[in-house]
Amino acid sequence: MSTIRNFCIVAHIDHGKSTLADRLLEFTGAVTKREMKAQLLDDMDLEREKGITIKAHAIQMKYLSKKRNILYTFNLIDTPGHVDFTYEVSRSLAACEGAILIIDASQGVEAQTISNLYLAIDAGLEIVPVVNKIDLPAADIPMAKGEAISLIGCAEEDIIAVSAKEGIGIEELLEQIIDKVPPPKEAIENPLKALIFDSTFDAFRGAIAYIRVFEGTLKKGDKIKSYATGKAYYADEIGVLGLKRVPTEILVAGEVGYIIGNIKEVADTKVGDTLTHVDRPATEPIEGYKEVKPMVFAGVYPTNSDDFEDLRASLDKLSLNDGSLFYEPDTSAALGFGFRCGFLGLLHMEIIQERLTREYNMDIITTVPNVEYMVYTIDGKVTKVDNPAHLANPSSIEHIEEPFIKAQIITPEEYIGAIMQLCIDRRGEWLNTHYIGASRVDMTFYLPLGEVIFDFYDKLKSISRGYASFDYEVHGYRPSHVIKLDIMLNGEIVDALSMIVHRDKAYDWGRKLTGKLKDLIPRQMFEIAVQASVGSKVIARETIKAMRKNVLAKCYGGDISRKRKLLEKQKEGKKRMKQVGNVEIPQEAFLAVLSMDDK
Amino acid sequence: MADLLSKPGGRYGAYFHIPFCDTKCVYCDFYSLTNHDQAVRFYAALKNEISLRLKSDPVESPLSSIFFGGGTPSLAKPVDLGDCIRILGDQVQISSEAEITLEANPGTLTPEKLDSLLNQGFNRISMGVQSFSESDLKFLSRIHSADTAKKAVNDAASAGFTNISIDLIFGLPGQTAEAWTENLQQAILLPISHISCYNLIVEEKTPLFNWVNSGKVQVPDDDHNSELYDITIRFLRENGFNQYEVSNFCKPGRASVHNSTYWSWDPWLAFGPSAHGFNGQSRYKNFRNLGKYIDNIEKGNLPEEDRESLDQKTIINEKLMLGVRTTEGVTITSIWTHLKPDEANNLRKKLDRFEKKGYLNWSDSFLKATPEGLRFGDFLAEELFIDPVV
Repeated sequence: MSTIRNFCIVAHIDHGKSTLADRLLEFTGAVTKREMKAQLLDDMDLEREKGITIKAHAIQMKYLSKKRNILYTFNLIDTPGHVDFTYEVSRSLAACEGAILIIDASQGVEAQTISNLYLAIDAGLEIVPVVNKIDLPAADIPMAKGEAISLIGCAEEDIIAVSAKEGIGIEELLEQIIDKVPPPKEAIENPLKALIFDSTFDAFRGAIAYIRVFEGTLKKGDKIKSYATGKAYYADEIGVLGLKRVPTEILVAGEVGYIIGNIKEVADTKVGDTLTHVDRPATEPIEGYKEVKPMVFAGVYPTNSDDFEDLRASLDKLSLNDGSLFYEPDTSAALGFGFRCGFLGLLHMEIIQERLTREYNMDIITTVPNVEYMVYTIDGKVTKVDNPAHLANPSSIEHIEEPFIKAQIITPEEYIGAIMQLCIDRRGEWLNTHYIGASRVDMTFYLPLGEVIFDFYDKLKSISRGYASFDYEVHGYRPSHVIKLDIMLNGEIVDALSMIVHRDKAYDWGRKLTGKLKDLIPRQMFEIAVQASVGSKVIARETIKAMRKNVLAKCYGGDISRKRKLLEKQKEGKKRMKQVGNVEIPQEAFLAVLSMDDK
Repeated sequence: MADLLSKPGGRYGAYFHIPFCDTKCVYCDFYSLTNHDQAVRFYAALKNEISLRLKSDPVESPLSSIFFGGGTPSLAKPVDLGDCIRILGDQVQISSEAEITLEANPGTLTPEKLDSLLNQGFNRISMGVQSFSESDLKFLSRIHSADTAKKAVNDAASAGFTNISIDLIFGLPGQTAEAWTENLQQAILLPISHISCYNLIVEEKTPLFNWVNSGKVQVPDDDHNSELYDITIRFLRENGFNQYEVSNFCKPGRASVHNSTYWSWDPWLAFGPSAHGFNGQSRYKNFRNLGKYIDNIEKGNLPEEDRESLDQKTIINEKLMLGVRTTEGVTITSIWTHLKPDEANNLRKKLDRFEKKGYLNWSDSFLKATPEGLRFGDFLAEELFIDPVV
């Protein structure tokens, strides 16, 4: 019987997944204390800062069970923990036979716990329930256990109480993994079937695919092909994943490892794809492969139009290790040449923005994000529109459909009313409410995705004092009365500020947006009219008064250098503004709508 | 000679910083100390600094101005200040027309002291009145009253000072247009030839900064400050005071020679802790720490903390910045040869554009602000600056 165990960890954000992963690695000696940086599996700076595992990784550890005196091989496959990456999570889960379910002893079950758990159950995984953070003063172990029991119907004694932070219960958990998680199926003789569950990009080696071999045997040098792309290449290097890559000659059914071929782009190593031999192909791929589709779109423009080519090069490089980033050249009357980018979600967009800024030193302007609309014109055509500037003339539109999601919100019961109100404000349709445990509920809504991508999550957190959690899945398109809202500065439409909003909200948005822009755009040497309009009708107006004085004393006492440096610095700051017509607009104005308060 | 002193390029000043004050005002971030224990050692050091400074930064032309600022230099014994002037005069020529100014706190001046100051060679008094409203003065923690201020100005005139300036501050918390106008009205009734009106700046590391930050005190917004500034310019013009710099107004021919030195890119010597100087090529500053300042001089060292030799780009930007801050302007003849053709073209285009708008006047040899342009000095400087060489 195989001594391999492949598993992942399912948890809500901040419930201690990374810490538990660290402890397992430390306990099994896969990593020495000295090598241990906190949250080892998250190796991008951003991940560590945001505390979110953005890209999945995997690591192998050897565990000698004292009880059995057998050496086991564990492959821990890390999964991203955010709604933007549901598909990636599902593929990581598909590479496993079991999942550790973490429930925070003080917080209990949250939306991501449930949504990821369902994904794990759907993937047929054996669940190993764990209550974590039992060392915390606020820990309520019986409550957390109770919620786990009602969630997965396990016996109380099956739930292991651990403190990943303090290292309590780790050995018991390792033994449980051996007992509970089924060993991989024996299928070495079959034609090769290997699942790509993740990929990364190495500047020297090209794309590296992380794979789980389900059937057959993969040897170094084998000629293999992808089911999704049809492309064939040689397995130049294969191996297993320790703290670093460890090359091997062979990977057999049940094993987890990596493959390096002459693959240039990560986009060619599609998550969910199946690899098989060219000579002796499997008859069918592993189920569940999907093309990843962007859900949120925004314009990304260089602040300085001379940097367009640099931005292109940066996006090219970024996309080498982010196959889900979609981008194509676009132009804006206001912002010049740039790109229309598609993202998996708002977090994904934020990550790309930050990586462009930090890793590639790009000075960029991002426009208001929006979803993709289906526009049915009277001539019977259907067009996908992801850029408000491209929305056809209203008279030629028959109707427009917008994407909806099925949202799951888990909250203490006292916030039901406020959350119901929030969802209704966002044009939501309530489906049902279930109690989980004595005082917490699981609410389900249909919501327009376009209403969620702005500040829904922040609002939800604030009205529930941080207790409510949220997850969603895509739920198709529905007809909707959406219209284009334009913003004019001194009578000229700034296309990059246009947005598509529901008809009933246009007035409200127009008023708020002009108000916000009035605050964000600094006074200039002339008066600026900020107007919101729908079609030719102006629905809101604010005026930015002309600057009447722009000089501070300061040159007294002869400190000329200080004054000059101060003004030079201010000038640098000004350069980051975008000149549209003769009005200088700061970068943050283009995202004004994201920071708009509802009140 | 007098003619030469009033032109950019012809001036050479000397500044003495006297760091002692009776109390520290809530808005002030100049270097000052309320502990006067080191005063004797300080004056000895200050006098010794003169030769050290002149060795490092020799002066060929006669000095056109001497200015004692602070702190509260009027707290000093007139003879200590007079000694400084005499020691300086022994080592470098002081023009017979030189403007010699004492910055004074009205509460520290008596008729006797004023006589004595005249005898020591002072011919100009710049008085820190700040406001004629008692509540403003109390808020600013000034040690004098409005009546004391008026009396001090009148006493100075009686003693024989014909060149008297006062400082006022506008944009104080709660200050209405009426209250400010009343201040100006009081000012012009006095025998003065020069007024500086500063918009209150909330400087970091001052009590005022903390009050504003904690919401304890609210300062007027930009609109209100602009209105007060408008009032200032109009009122003073109507009463015979012309604006020649962002915050400075004078009767004809009474512009401050010393301050004009700073603003016209002319050189000056600097003495005393935290003082800034300029020798025509480099700018330097002394330690902003009395102990360090004195120790260095006692060891025979120049008490200099930092010195920056100006590169061409810095010189150009300084001149552009200063040029748009005064109606006298600066000479810019030399800058063109240091600009690349496209930089020069660009600059000329911008200068033309702002000239058309009425903010400045320029030719290849000079740049100066119009009265309208003075109110946009920072904006114009930022627009005109040359980018650093990459």
